Amino acid sequence: MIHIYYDSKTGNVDRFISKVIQITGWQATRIEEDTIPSTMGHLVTYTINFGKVPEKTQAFIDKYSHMIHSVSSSGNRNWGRNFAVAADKLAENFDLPIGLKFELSGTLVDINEFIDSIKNQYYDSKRRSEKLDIA
Amino acid sequence: MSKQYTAVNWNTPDNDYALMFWEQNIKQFWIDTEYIPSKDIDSWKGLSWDMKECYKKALGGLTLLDTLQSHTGMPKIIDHINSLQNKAVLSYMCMMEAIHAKSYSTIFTTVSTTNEINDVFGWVSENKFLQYKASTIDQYYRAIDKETVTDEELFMALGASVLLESFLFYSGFFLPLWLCGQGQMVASADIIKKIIADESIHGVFVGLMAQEVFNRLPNKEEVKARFLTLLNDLYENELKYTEELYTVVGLTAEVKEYVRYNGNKALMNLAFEPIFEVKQVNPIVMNGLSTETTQHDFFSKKSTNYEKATEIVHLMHEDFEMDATVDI
Repeated sequence: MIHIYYDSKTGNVDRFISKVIQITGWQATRIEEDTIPSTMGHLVTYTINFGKVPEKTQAFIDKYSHMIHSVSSSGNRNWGRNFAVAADKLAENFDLPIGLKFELSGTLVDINEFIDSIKNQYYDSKRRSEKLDIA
Repeated sequence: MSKQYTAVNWNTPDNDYALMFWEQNIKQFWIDTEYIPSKDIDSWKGLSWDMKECYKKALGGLTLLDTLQSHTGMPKIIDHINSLQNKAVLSYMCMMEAIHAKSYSTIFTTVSTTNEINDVFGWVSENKFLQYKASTIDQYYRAIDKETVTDEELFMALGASVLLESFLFYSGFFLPLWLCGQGQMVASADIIKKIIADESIHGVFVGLMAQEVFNRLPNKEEVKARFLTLLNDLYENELKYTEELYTVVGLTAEVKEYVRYNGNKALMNLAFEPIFEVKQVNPIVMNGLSTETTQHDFFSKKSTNYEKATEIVHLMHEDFEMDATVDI
């Protein structure tokens, strides 16, 4: 079973994940301050404050990056080069592949692309596998 | 018993987002005079007559929307939002809308004559599609211009505001971004991109409040259908406006696609599903959004970008040695 850890503030990532779960039946855990991951999973977060990683996400991955397969981020292309840049930053800092960068709560095309990239490229993948970086 | 007046207390958060939006808004603060569109004068001279007309009209239309939003939209909404902290964020956004509305004039004043500018503002007042856009949105703002309003009326006003911020602006934003994406009118585009950044967070913030109101509605499906009818009505009007404005420069199809793409984003700000099919947004426009530019000095101006100084004279130890031959 594929597991997703996600962080959401305005509800966009929440809605994105809901739709992913609806289609796939995967499991997802919303990251709270006391969240302890029980299984390896994929991280989906958002980007705030001119391209910053949200605090809750940062605290989670600082502790549990060894439990994460890939990172994805919601964002808005109106921010130009800062679009969903949290995914790029986490990918670089923790040497993880990027699953997908998508806008707001994602269109159906985004959701299918995300499912596809997680299912076909990351499942059973070893961490730090650079060949998986599709971004 | 007379009405009890409450003071805004920021020590206790009203919710988990007001302070975050307050701080983000403040970080985004800018004024038009920090930018220097005069750098675009050469670029302006190189544009065709049709392109100049289209550009001026696009900016004229944007000015109307920002005027409506700062003079009516935000003030009416503030009246019916309970959280005092949310009201404060809205009043800050209201002030920024006034700066946006003025900033288009800063561009106009730089590239056009007074006669030309007056013509543009005359055109704005006469153009039936722009007037329809403004009057349609205004109707929902005016509907809450009273002591007590229903949740449905409030949701429709908030929804109309999100449509204005996240959807209706983009037929106008298209052209400055498209030009900037190919290196034209880039200094003016810096101003436009600051406005886009502001409108982006306005749409999210007002969208969040709209979702709160929507969630307590007893007749959600009915109100959602009413809202989608409004969206479609405005969409049809945007298509006609786009044709009138952009046919002469051959960009109609691209602008329409951009309008649909932003319509989906407005819907997402309200937690609704995207309804428009979008194939590909013009890559030059996306490039315009990503292009980091242009004007910067370290003392008086802001930029979308950090620019590195290229002519550097290093400070040396000798610089601090006193010249003893000079009388002190």
